[in-house]
Parts: sequence; C-alpha cells; structure tokens
Amino acid sequence: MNEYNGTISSTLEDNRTYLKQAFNNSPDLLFQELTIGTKKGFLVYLEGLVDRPFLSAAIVEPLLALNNTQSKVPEKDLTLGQVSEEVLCQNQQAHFYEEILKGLLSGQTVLFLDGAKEALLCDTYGVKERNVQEPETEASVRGPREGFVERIGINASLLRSKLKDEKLRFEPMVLGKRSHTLVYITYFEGLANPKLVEEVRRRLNSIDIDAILESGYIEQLIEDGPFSIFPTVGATEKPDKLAAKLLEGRVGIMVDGTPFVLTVPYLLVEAFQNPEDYYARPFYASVVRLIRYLAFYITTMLPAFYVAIQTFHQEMVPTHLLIKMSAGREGIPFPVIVEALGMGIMFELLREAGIRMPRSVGQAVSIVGALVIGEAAVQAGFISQSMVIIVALTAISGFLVPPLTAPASLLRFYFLISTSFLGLFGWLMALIALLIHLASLRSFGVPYLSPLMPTNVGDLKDGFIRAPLWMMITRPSLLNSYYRQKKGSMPKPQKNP
Amino acid sequence: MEKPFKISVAIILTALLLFLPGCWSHRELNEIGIVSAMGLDLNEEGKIGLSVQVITPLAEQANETGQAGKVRFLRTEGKTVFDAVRDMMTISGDRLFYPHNQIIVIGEELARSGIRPVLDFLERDPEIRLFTNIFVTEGRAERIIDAVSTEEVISAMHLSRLIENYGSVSKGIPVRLLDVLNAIYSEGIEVCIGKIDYKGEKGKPTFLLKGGGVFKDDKLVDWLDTEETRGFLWVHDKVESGIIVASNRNPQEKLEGISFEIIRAGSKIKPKLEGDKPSFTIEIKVTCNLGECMEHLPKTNEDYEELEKILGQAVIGEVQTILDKAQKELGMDILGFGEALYRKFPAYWKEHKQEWAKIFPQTEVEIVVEALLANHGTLR
Repeated sequence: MNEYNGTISSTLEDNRTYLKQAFNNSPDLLFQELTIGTKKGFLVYLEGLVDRPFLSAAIVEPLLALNNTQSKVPEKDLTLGQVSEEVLCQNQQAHFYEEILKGLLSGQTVLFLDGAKEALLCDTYGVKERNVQEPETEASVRGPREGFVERIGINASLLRSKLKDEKLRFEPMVLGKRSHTLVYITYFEGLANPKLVEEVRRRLNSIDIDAILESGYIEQLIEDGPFSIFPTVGATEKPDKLAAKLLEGRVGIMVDGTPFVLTVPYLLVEAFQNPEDYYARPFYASVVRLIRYLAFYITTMLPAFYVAIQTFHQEMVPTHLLIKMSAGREGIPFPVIVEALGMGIMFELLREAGIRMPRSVGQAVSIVGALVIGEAAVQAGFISQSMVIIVALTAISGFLVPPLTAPASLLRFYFLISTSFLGLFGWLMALIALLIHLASLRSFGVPYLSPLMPTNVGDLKDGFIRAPLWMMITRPSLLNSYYRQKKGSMPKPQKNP
Repeated sequence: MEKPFKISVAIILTALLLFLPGCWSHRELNEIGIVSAMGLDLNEEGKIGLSVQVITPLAEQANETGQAGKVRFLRTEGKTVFDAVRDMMTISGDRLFYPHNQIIVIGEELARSGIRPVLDFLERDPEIRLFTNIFVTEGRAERIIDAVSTEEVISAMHLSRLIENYGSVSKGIPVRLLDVLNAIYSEGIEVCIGKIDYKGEKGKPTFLLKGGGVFKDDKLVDWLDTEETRGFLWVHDKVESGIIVASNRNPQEKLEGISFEIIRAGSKIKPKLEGDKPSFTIEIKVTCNLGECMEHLPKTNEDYEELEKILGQAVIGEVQTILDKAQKELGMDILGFGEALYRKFPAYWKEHKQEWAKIFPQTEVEIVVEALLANHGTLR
C-alpha cells in the first residue's frame, strides 16, 4: 500500500480527511482549530500521548498571543517557519504523511496551516508515567534506591546522572515492524571494544519481528545459546549496576517500555555478583559471595545427593545419621525419589502461585503451603521430615542467586532424575555433561565460564571473592576493553604520617 | 536420516540407557536392616553360628517407652559363613546391611579351632569393612551380641565408644580386621586380638574391654591379663595414654603409690646380630605428668629424678611381664621380634625362620626406657 507515502496536501480539509481515514475515525485522534491572524490551521494529536497542559502553554498560547500583540501583527503570509520560532518546544517540519503518522503515534502534536505544503511536528509527549522507584527484583540494603522505569528517556537520564562523561554513547535504533520501539545501544566509547559494539549492532539489525514488548524479546533474539537453560544476556533494573557494567567495557541495550536493561556479554560469574558486594567492605562481601556459590550447589544438587545416598550409598552416611534417616523413612509409602520429585514440584507450584497471586491473597498461599502441605503431610506420614528439611533448604538457597533461579529449578530435576537411576555415579555423569555444556557456551565471543575457565587469575579477583577496590585496578581482560587500566588507578589507603 | 528422527532416536536411546542398567543395586532405606554387631561361633557338628544385632530404626526415638525392641538379635547357622549370612534373610525380613557393622566378636570355641576359615569371608565380602573392630571373648560370642547396654540404646554403639576411648586407659588391645589379616599373613609375628567380656549382673550389665587373646597361627592358645596387655601395647607402640601406677620406699605404709599420667609414649624394637645370635633392644620413650603422689611431696630436683627412675622401673616392669610371658611361658613371638629382624636382616631371617620358634625364647632382650616427668613441681 502506498497510501501513506503521499506528500502533504496544501488544503486543510484534505489533510484532515486523510488523517481521519488513516486512523479510521479513531475517537482519540483530536483536532483543535486555530486561527492565527488571517490564517486558519489546526492542531492534531492523539489523546493520552500528549501532555495537554504543556501543549496549551507551549503551542496554543504563544500562537494565539500573536493575534493580540501589537508589535507582531500577523502578516498575511505567515509561514510555518515563523510559527516554529514562536512555539515553545522542540519542533521540526515534515513533508510526508508517513512522518506525520509516526510523529502522532509517538506523542507529537502536528500543526497544519492553510496553504502550507508542510506541517510542524512539536514534541509534546507526555504519557502518565511511573515515578522512579526502588526496583522490586533487585532489592538492596546499602546502595541507591532508584530503578529504571518504562520510559527510555528517563532511563537514559538516570544513567547519564551516574556517568557524567561525554564518552557515554547512546545509539538509537527503532525495532519492531508494528511497535516501532525505540532501542538505545549504550556503551562507553573507548572502553567497550568496537568489535563488540559492532556485533551488538549487527544482531539488533537482524531482528525482524512485529513488536518488541519487553527487552526479553530482544534477549531471546540475540542470545548465543538459544537452547541453553543458562542466560547469556544479562538484565538489570538498577542504574548503578548498569553503570558498573558499562565501565567494565560491556554494552547495554535499553528498550523503551520496560525497566529491564540488557547487558552483554553476560558470564556465569556475574550471576553471583551483586552491586552491594562493592558497596560493602570486602571481607564480608567475599564471604557472602562464596555463600552464594554454596547456595547454588545446594539448590541444584542437595535433593539429588540426598536421594543418591538414601537409595544407593547408605554406607557413606555416618551410622547415627543413617539410623535417624532410616527412622524418618519408617512407614513412608513412597520411594525417596517420588518424595523428592513430589516435594520439588510442590515447591515450584507454591512459588509460581506466590508470584502470580494478587498481593492481597499472597499471604494465604504461604500459610497453605507452609502449614497444610508441609506440616500435615509429615503428620500424615506421606513425607519424611528430613525431606521437608531438604526441600526447604533447597528452596531458600534458590533465592540467593536470583539470575539463576530458572536454570536452578531445571537443574534440580535434572540431577534428581539422574541420581535416582544411577546414584552418585549418575550424579557425576550429569555434572560432567553440565560442565561440558557450560564450557561450550559463549556470550558475544566471551567464554561463559571465564574467568574460571579459561582461567584468568587477574580477573578472578572479582570471581569467588571480591578483592578490595584499590586492588581492582584493571578492567576484565576477557572483554578486551580498550584501556585495561581503570581511570585514575586507586592507591591503597594509607595512614597519614 | 532426517534431523527430527535422529534427535528422537538419541532421546530414546538416552532414556533406555537410564532405564535398562538404572536402579542397579537400588535399595530404599526402609528396606534394609542395619547390622550393628556381628558374632561368630562354632556350633555343634562344625557349623558356623552367626549372630547379628540389627538396629530397629525407631529405636532411638522410642527411648522413653522402654527397653524392648531397640535392636533385634538374630541367629542362624550354616556350613560356611556366607551360608549363615544368607540364611539370615530367611528370618530377618529386611535385607541386612553390613557396612555399618561396629564390631565383630569371635567366640572362644571358634577361636581355639582356628579363625582363618571365617576370616576369608570377612575379607572377601565387599560389605564388610576392613576397619571393623574385631574381638575375641571367653565363651560364646552371641552372648556379647545379645547383651543389652544401659548406656546406649544400641549396645554396639556403646562398644564402639568404649573402643574409641581405649586410649585413655591402654589396657585392652584394639585391633581391626585389617590388622588381624596383616598379622596372619606376615611372618615373624603372631596374632593377638583384644578381649571383650560382658558381666550381666542383675540390672547392671557391663562390658569389659581388657586383656587379649594370643593366637598361634590362627588358633587361640592363651589369654593375656591387663598387665601383660599393657606390656604388649608398650612393645607395639600402641600406648596412647593411661596411668602407670608405681610405688617405692616404704612398702609397709598403707597409703602409698604414685600415679603417672602418660602424655606421650613411643617405642621401637631394634634388632642386633652378633655372629649368629640375634638380640633385641626395646627402646621406649615416655613422658608423663605426675598425676598423683600419695607419699611425701616431692620438692627438690633430686626428688623428681628419683621419681623418673621409679617411672622408668615401672615401665620396664610392665614390659618385662609380657616378655617373660612370650618367651618363657608361651614361647611364641607375639611381640613381632621376628618381623623386626626380618626387616633389618632379611638374609638371616630367610635362613633361620624355620627354627625361629626355638631361637626366640632364648634371645636376649634389653629394655631401655627414657622416662621424663613434665611440668616439674606444678600442682595446679
């Protein structure tokens, strides 16, 4: 269809009919008549997308004021150029209907003047927006409370306010054939490897989809391991986290309409890092980080390990513990594996219910879950007490590493099934298979397991532990960032002489 | 082949790989009976009598409800040990599970007739651990297995605690199955297994872990009493801790005696060969605390030197007891002199090992004790 490609007509009536047709008389397309001096004209905008007080203050009032002011008596041939000088907002002239339509849809107000073959696009975007709030997915005790919002402009300004450097780049891009979503590729010129930026550009350009409703769409379309259960693209809601990642030489992808900003490349170790590690002093931060690793092991392998020693390797358990475990199993009608799988599924049910349920009834879920299912099932002798302990521990540990909650759930069942068939031998097999898979993964050219494998001792200072800030003076070398040294290398704190 | 077909074949094969060999030796915890103690006896007609103590899992929880039903005592007999073990299945109901066995007790009759035949099964079966403690007892072994402990719900657990704590007394001989096998297979040393006893006085049953049994080849020939056992432990460098009681000066006084608490002890057997005549030196180093001195209070350095002499003499006395027993009474090398000789002078040993039993009682043995009293003069 070529109907939208026409140039603007010089008669007002034609334009009006055209627009009405294009939107099929949509009720939210509003027209406002204006007379400036002798010239007629009209403003058109989409209700709800524009900030109406701003519209009247910045466009309507100055234009009407021209009628009253003595000094600036409107001449006969008032041009659009003159009008644009009077209008108190950003504006540009358009010649084609296509531009007009796009402008209207992104919240611009269009001014048509009788006899002019162009129109004036004025930026009046003003959708009701959420305030900058603390992000719910990434809570922190110490650290900034602000989180990204849905509007990309605000997100960019939040990032700018963190990194006041002209080298911070935002490259705009419009993706989605019908959504025309604005996307920014953001990086630090001189820190991010240009090849990486180019690769991000290439992958984004190759996206061919109707609409980008959330950054998750982009994540799934550009990730390296589409069949992997591990994420190879990171997402964050926190400006400080994004700023830190950009400073390491990573590239961010901001998407209009979602608070989740993507970062690439994304490595496994990043899942165990948390902005707060860097805000707290290094000793406890390091311990907490180790605990996160431990928690990941517990949440993925503990039930499997328990099933293995209960059904295959009873000789490995200390005798007293074995007696206790055996006593717990007395009279339980199911095999251990059925118990473990059942409780695992039960936990997933409760978790999903807890997330989806309206907040007000969320309380009920936890009561039902904890009391009825846990307590009653044990009382009734369907499930052993030790299994409840195992599942509870597994569940709690799962929340320590939020980015990996989804893979952890899947891995739990994967290990559980392999050990239920083959015991610790099966567990080892499953672990080897998992490691092979992880070792084969890459994220934008960087090995997923780095800096653990390939081992990079220098980068490990931010791996299992978090070294003091004054020791972390180089950027991660695997990202091949331009300047290895961080700006202004930090001296070790010294006592005053 | 088409790709989807290939993938589905791969998935099916993987699933088969899990299902076909999978669950091999799978056993649920509630289907096994955990054996905590095991006794071997010689029954009539040369049959092996096997008695086991099986833990009832709910035992520890049912602690308050009374004594009954804490452990099960099962008894079978068979032509071979394995025969008896498998016969257990016919009466136990559970599959019996041996890796958690705490103790193996061998009855006197079986010990006297030779333990080698039963050791083979214990050595061969993968479920029996080589680190299991092994003991001999006077009378029948099942008496010990069936005995009830007042300390622990499961008497085998009580026994294993007793064994762990032997070190602070050093009066019994703790040996593991592996040690017995090693001694039986090596030349120049005879087997010695600790003795366990049980006194079931009314309502107050007690286990005694004192002394040991001396074996010639694999047959029990004599018992060691506690003093001889201490000597045995000295020579074998197995004294960990314990009390050495000595006395001196006025034997007429009623309250007398000095207790030395052993802190560190070590010993070595050093063989010497003069011409064709082997002789041995047992070097013992012992460090003690003065634990108790019922006589006068030692004050001067001389007093302490005197005490060290007394200590040295006491240790020599303890070693001499076992030496006399081994050389004169039994004429058996239970102390491992032959083994030490074999290590130092293999050529001599090869030549003379046949007549070692004759040479051993005549060899000269010197006992050198280096005694040290630590913490001079500190009362507290």
